[in-house]
Amino acid sequence: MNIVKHLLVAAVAISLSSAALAARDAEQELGASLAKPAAVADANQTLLITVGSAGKSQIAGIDFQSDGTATALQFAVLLPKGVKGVNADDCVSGLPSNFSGKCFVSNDKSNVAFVIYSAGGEALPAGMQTIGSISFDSASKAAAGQMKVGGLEVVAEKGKKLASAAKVVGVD
Amino acid sequence: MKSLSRNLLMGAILAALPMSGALACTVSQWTGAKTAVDADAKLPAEVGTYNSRYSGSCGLVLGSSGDYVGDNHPANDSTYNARFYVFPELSGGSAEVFGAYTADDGGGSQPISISYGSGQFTFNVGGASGNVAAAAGKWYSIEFAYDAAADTFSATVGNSTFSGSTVGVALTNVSLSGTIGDVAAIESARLGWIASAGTGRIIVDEFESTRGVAIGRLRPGDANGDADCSVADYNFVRDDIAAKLELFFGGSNTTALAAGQPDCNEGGQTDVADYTCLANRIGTDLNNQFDGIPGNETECAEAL
Repeated sequence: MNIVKHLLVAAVAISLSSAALAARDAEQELGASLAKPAAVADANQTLLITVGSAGKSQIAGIDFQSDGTATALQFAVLLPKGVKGVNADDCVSGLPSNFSGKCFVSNDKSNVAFVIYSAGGEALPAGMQTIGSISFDSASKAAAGQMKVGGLEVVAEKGKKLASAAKVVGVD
Repeated sequence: MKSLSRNLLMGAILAALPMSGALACTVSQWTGAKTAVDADAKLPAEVGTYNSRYSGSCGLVLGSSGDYVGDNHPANDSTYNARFYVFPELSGGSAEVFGAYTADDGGGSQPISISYGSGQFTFNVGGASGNVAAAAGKWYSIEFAYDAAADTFSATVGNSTFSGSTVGVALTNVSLSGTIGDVAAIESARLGWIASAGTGRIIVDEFESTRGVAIGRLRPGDANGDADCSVADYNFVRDDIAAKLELFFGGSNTTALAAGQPDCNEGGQTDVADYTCLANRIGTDLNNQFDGIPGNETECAEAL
């Protein structure tokens, strides 16, 4: 199996299992950034980054749990230090067809910014929604513990900001 | 994040004059001598393809020479800064779009003149002049700093460089320092299509002036006017498109125009291209905020 195919398989596996992992996460403290924020319990919109290794690469599945009111969101996935290569080809591949999304890899490969919106003002379906996945070159088994989410903002119709939270979990 | 244009020292502000009042487009807040009338201040749908304004609801749309608004706020000001937006839509000839004078109501001499024609802005200050190339059919910010005592003048012309996956701003500077030869203080200003013959239209908006304090560009893509580019602006870009269509087709206008700057790419109209432009500006801001490089933070993909 070539590495690209292996990563894709890993991405699907991570994405499909992310809801179950969310429950497991409560018992799996993987670092400071994984400590469950107090806001998570209250927020109806939760961004979930699930990180696993595939050879010398790490792949991060990106899912969003919403209550059916979110029409747009933005955030940056902060990568571990020293990352030299990022593959973001599938970063928004899981979005519904009525949503648009773009991601932006910073020049220094320190973060990947996501901007997701519905041109028609529709809301993401309630429940867990796959956004996509990214991969990056890091052999560290502790990559998830070095990752964070910054600048998360979720809005509903009329630009109303919604309470939101983010979690990064590892599966290795 | 802070908007530079809102970060002015309050005491330094001379004038911030809109083209709208509480309920309608109007030039009533321009109290100097003027030839433009309320009917020249227009909503976007009143001018066809292009938006009539850069920000807020209304802009001043002028179809011939000799139509302008006047501002007598300057009071023997030897240091004078101003910033305004202009949308040159000329197919021929030229138009003087800004003038500053040494007496009220355009009286006395005229130390500063800014014109558009033949694909460029021309700055005439005292006995010196300089040009900045600028294609017609786009919104441009023009900001200048004039110091009569120091005999200096510098100006910056800005326009979005949105293209494909990149976005930013092209800022072109013109400096006439030390060559002006005119040390007169400013008493009044005019904005519009003041003089010179041409074919087409001139649209102006968002005039602000200060006594020696830099003003800065408004944030393109900040559709809701909160001085920040974020996904919250999408709703307002979308509503701005809908509102213009409602107005254009004469139906009931149930959707509000965006209060900020929905024309993210400064191309002259709010349309679906502004969605992509806004995504690019937000993505750039996030990349720069979290890249660990001090000092390169941006707002709406433009330097703070």
